[in-house]
Amino acid sequence: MTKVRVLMALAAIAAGLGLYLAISAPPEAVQRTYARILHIHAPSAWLAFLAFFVTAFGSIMWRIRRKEFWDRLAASSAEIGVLFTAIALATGMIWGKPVWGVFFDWGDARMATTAIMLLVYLGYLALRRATPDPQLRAARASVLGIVAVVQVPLVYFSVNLVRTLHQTQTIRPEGSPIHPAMLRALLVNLAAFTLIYLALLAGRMVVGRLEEKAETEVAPVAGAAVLPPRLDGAIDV
Amino acid sequence: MEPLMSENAVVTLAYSVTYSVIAWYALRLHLRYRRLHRRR
Repeated sequence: MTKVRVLMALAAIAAGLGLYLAISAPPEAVQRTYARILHIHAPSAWLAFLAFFVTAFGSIMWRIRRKEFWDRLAASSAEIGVLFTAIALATGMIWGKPVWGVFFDWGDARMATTAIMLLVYLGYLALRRATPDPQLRAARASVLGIVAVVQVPLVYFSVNLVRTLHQTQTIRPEGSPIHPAMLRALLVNLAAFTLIYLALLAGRMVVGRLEEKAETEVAPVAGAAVLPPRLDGAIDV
Repeated sequence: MEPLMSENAVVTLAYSVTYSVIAWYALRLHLRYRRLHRRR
C-alpha cells in the first residue's frame, strides 16, 4: 500500500501544479476562458485510450500466460478507463454547450464514437459481473478486451475522418498551434493525469487481489459449529 | 439570450466534476480496501 500512497501523493502534487498552470495560462483568442477546459478534457480522453490499451495488453497476456495477474490488470484498467471516458464526455458536454450551442450531437464523429466506446466498456464490466467463475470470466472478458480496443484509434482519428463539430488534435507531429504557456499547462496536466491513472490502477490492483482471495476462501457452512450429540453418556464441557 | 452561467462558472463546474469523480473513485477504492483488509 506504501507504493499506492506515494503515487497518490505525487499525483496530487502534479494535479495541483497542473491546475495552477491551467488557471494562469493566457485565455484563448476565440473561446477565451472556456478553452481552459482543454487541460482536463484532453488528458482525460488520452488516459481513457491508455487505459483501454492496457486492458487489451492484459487480455492478450492472460491468453498467453493464463495468470490471474493479467486478468486483474485488464479489469482494473478498464474500470479506470470507463471513469476517464465519462469525465472526458462530461467535460466535453460542459464545454460544448456554451461554444457550440449543444451539449451533445450524435452527428459528430468524435462524440458518437466516444459515447459508443463508453457503452462497450461498460458492457465489458457488466460481462465480468455476469460471470461468477473466475476462469470463465477471464476467458470471456479477454476476448472483449482485445476486440474492443479497435475503437481507440477509431475515436482518435474520427476528427480527421469526418470533420464536423469537434476540433482536430491539439498536439501534432508537426508542432502544436497553441500558445507555449497553454501547451506547457496541457503537458503538465497530461503527466498529472497519468500519475493519477497509475495511482488508481495500483490501488485497484491491490483491492482486486484481496477480492479474489475473499472469493476463493470457503465460507463456513451455517450451523457448522453445532456438534452431533454424543451417545456414550459422556458430557462435554 | 443571456447565458445561464458565466465563463468562469462553466470552467469551475468542469474542473469540479473532474476532480470530484476522481476523488469519489479513490475514496471508494480506499473503503473497499479497508473492508477487505479488516475481514482478513
